Amino acid sequence: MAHDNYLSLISLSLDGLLTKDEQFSLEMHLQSCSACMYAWEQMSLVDRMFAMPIEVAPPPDFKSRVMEQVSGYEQRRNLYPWMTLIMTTILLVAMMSIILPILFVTLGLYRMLFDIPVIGMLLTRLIEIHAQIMAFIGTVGVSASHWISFLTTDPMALAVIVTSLVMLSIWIGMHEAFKLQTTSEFSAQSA
Amino acid sequence: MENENELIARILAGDQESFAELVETYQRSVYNLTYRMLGDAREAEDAAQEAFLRAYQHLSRYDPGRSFKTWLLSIASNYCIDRLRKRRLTWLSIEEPLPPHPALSSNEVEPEEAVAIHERYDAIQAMLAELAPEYRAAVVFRYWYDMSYAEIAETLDTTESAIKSRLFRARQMMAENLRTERHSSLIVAIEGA
Repeated sequence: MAHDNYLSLISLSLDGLLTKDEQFSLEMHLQSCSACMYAWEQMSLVDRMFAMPIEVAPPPDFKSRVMEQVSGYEQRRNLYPWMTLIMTTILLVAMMSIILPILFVTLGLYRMLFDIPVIGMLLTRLIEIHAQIMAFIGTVGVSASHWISFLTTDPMALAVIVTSLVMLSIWIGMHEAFKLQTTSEFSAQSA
Repeated sequence: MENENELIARILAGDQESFAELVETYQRSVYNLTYRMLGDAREAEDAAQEAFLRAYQHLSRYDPGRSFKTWLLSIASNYCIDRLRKRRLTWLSIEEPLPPHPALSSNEVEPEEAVAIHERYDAIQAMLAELAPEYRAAVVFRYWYDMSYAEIAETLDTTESAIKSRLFRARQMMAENLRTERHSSLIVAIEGA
C-alpha cells in the first residue's frame, strides 16, 4: 500500500472505521515508518483535543428573540396581500390615467362632449381662448424673431445694443456706489 | 419523532407556540454549532436566530421522513459556511486575539478548572479558525455531534467520500499547525487536560 494511503487510514482509524485487517496493516506500517508514526501521534493529539465535550450555552433570552423574529415575519407575511392589493390598485390607477386620455383623443370620444349643452359651450369657449393665446404667442414670437435677426445681422444695430449695454452697466454701477455712499453718511450721522 | 412531526403539523397550521417548543429543544445544538463555526458569540447568536427563522420560513419544504435535527443543523451550517466565505473576502487576520467566549454550560466547576476549560476552549477555537469552512463543519459534526460520515454527508449535502477526505485533510492540517510556535500553548493545554 502507498505511503499516502496509510495517512488516510490514520484518520479513519481515529474514527474506528477500519477493518481488523486494515488496522493490523496500519499498525505494522507505523512500527516501521517514523514519518507515519509522527503523523499518527500528531493526529491523535488533535483527536484528544477535540474529544473533550465542551458546550456553550445560548443566551437566556435566545428563545424569546427567535420568537420575536418569527412574529415579525408573520406580521410582514400577513401584510403582504394587502400591500400587493394597494400597490396593484395604485399601478392600475396610474395606468388608467395615462391610457384613458390617449384613448379618449385617438378614438375621437372627445367630440361627444361638445353635444352636452353647458359643457359643450364651455369647451368651445376654452378652445377659442386657447387659439387666441396661441395666435398672440405666435405673433409675439415671430416679431421677436424678426427683431433678433435684424439686431444680430445689422452691424450698426449691434453697435447700438452693445453701447447701450455698456452704458446701462455703468449707470447701474454708479447708482449702487451712490447708494452705498449715502448709507455710510447716514450711519455716520446717526452715530 | 412522531411527536416532532405533530409539532411541525401544528406550526404549519399557524401555531407559533409549537415552534417555540422546537426552539427550546434545539437552541443549544444550533447555537453550539454556529459558535464553533464562527467563533464569535454575537455572530453565533445572529446565525442561530437566522437558522431558526429560515427553518420556520421553509418548514413546508421539510421532509418528515428525515431527521428534523439534521435538517435544522444543515440550514445552520450552510448559513455559517456562507458567512465565513463572505468574511474571508473582508479578510480577518488570524493573528487577532480571539473574541471572548460565552458562558460555558458547566457552571458548577471550580475557578481554576474553569480557567483550564477556557484555555482548552480557546485552543480548540484557534485550531478551527484555521480550517476552511467546509472542513470546519465536518470536524464540528464529527466530534461534537457524534455524527457518522453518512449523517455528516447528508447534513452538508455531499458524499461520504468527500467527508472522509475533508476529515483527513482537516486532521492533517491541524496536526501540522499544532507544532508551530503559535500553538505551543495549545499542546500544553491539551496535554495538561
